[in-house]
Amino acid sequence: MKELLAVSLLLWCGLSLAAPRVPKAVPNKATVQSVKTPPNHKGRTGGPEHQAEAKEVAQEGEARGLQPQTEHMVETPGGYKSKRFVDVVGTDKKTEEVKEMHQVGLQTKKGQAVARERQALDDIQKAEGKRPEFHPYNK
Amino acid sequence: MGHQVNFFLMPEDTRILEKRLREECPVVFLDGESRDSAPVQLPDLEVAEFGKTRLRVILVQPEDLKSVILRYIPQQGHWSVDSDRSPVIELDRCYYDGEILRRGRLYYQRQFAEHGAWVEKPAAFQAWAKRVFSVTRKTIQKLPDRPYYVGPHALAEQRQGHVKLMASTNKPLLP
Repeated sequence: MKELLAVSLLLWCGLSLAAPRVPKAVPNKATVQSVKTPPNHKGRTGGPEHQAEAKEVAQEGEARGLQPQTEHMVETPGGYKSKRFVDVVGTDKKTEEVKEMHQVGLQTKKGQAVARERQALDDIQKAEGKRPEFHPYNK
Repeated sequence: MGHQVNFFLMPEDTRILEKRLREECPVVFLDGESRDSAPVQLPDLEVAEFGKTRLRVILVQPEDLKSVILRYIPQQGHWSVDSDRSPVIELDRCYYDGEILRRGRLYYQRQFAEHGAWVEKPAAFQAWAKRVFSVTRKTIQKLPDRPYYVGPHALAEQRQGHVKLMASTNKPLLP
């Protein structure tokens, strides 16, 4: 009887050690993040609301005699990103000199540009020595 | 979303690009502004006088000429090509004053926003625009590790210290 008990105990120990451990079902963080909508999913030029505001800003510049240029590229070495696109700049029609810079984006409830836009403004200011004027489209 | 090529072209480089574009793609050049509601065609991409000539030119396929929309700017008393809604490419020629060469660019949008929704521009226009961009990129060379293209004359002049290539800042692009 003692032998039988010992054999059973050995068998039970062996089986429990050999059995694969089933991992606890935890959500895969990467998978969860990848299905979430990214904060700027509409990309560089934004959605139609962003475009409408940018167009309005461009037309105001044009009325003042400037040449509007949308998505004006600026290299921003040492910034959060290596290059940025200013939503609208107003240039001199005959010399292409940039006279004004405008950035369109979301603002917080307190009326401040959202973090993503503040980083863009910081990068552009650092590179160009001038901070673009911010135009919220969720006023 | 817009597509763009930023470049530095001396007047000689612009002539080379114009020749290549004419050979490879059907293209008409328009002035960005007009005194009336009809667009004004330009014979070429030549800048008559730097500092006095407007540098924006509109590129359009001959068959799309009728689709070009102009908008009246009452404060300025002229009409302006609405490149946002028209099947056109903006070409901003490079400003050159003998010492500095400011960057120019080709730019177009494949869609525009209307009544809160996106309107896609015609597929034929997009295919033509891609061809124009492809020809441009093959005609001039890209600066290594920089998002700019440069024409052979501009590069030679810069290397000899005859011209400074200026991006939007007042700092020269290359030492």
